[in-house]
Amino acid sequence: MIEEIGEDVKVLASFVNGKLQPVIFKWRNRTYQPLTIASSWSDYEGQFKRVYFSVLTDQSNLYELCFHTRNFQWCLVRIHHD
Amino acid sequence: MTDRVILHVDADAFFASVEQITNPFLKGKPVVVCGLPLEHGVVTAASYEARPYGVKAGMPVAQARKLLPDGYFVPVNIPKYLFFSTRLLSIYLQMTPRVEAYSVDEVFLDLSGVADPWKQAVELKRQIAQETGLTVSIGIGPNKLIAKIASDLDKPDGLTMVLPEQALQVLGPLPVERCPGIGPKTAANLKALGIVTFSDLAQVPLAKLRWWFGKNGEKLYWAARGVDETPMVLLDQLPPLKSKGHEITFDQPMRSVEAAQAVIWEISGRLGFEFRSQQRLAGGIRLKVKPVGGKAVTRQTRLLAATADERVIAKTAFQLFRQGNFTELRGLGIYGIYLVSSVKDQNQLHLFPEDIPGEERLQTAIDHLKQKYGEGIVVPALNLLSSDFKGSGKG
Repeated sequence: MIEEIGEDVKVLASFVNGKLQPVIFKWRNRTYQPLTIASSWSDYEGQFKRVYFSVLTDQSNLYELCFHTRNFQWCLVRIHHD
Repeated sequence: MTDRVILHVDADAFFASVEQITNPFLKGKPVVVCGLPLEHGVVTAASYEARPYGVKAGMPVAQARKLLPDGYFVPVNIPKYLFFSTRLLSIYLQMTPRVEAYSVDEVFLDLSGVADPWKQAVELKRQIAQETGLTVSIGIGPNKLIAKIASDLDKPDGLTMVLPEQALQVLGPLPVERCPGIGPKTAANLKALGIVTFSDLAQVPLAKLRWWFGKNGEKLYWAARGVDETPMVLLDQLPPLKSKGHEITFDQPMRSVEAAQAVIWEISGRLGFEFRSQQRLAGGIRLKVKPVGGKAVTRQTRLLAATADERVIAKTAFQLFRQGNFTELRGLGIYGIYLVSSVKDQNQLHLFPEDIPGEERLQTAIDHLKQKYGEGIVVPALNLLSSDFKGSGKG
């Protein structure tokens, strides 16, 4: 099941080999530690790049995070529940 | 011509595979990618796991849900697929600069003169799987026709090579539908004439095929013999666009003229911005209207002067709309036709910025905003007032 969220979230990220990578994110006062980055891709809104990550925090939930380079803001786009 | 070595690379169930890669929960499950709106749209792609249930592209989502109630229905995400398509393209270009992008998930590679194309193809499949997680099916042949047919013989994740001397033997027993360009209608016409396979087709004299199918008869004649001299269209040789447009399908039937007008302005704004960004002008406008319960209707007109001005596009499209007596709509589209380059047709260059007419300055300023922040940053006020429609775009 896919749940559309579209809310800003706080993310602690690292740069590994020049690549951005979310490490921990906080949403609705709960902290989530991504275990695995399943995939990442990007697109553009105007001239600003948006980088998407699908991250697995456990065996049943996948979170789609988006980093917008216009305002350096992270957003939780949607959740996939297995 | 027999010296040519062409690879046709087809990404397997591309849209659905990308969804499975980006969401590991979907791996091995029946995934149906749906055009928007999710419940009223059509199936865009189905994973290999969904296909045995009879789900296929072009089918209404409601029908697919009946066939596959436990399927995973996900909305189409074109930017995501374009990202993966671009990644694939960069892998192909590492192998050869002679790449023809046939579609978002299919390419032709010209490996003529390469010592061992089979080995190259194996390496290509390995690299694609490693870098993207996708699988591709590859056909190798002496021309584009045979390469494309060959890639379809072993799917998914297949690799098939047809040597020139094997072409007739391989093609012979295949049904004519396997031939690119032979759709269900032509196949039905051929079947009615007793022509089911490539072998059957090869028995028919050229004159007869010309008589039955006109110009296409000659293509069929040569296809039956595995002959195809179509050249590669490399990335820097793409033919100029003749038309460009967008369509919107509505969630609910649209009944008011005001709402239609808002949609026309929305599409026109997008088209005008794209034409100006790409230095194109439309010499005519085509309106496509999809009434509820009826076939799509198109109307078009030539403009007195080619334009990229969204106000002219919108006004012309609205005039075309008013000519019809449309009551309930399920979709609407606008196309700029007879496209020309605005570089050649530039009206008058202005020496001083203050000489530029106010409207042109305004449009340039809006374009700059859209280029920087995205197309949604400026919308016509009409669209803010109208809340009668909700829809999804295509094109």
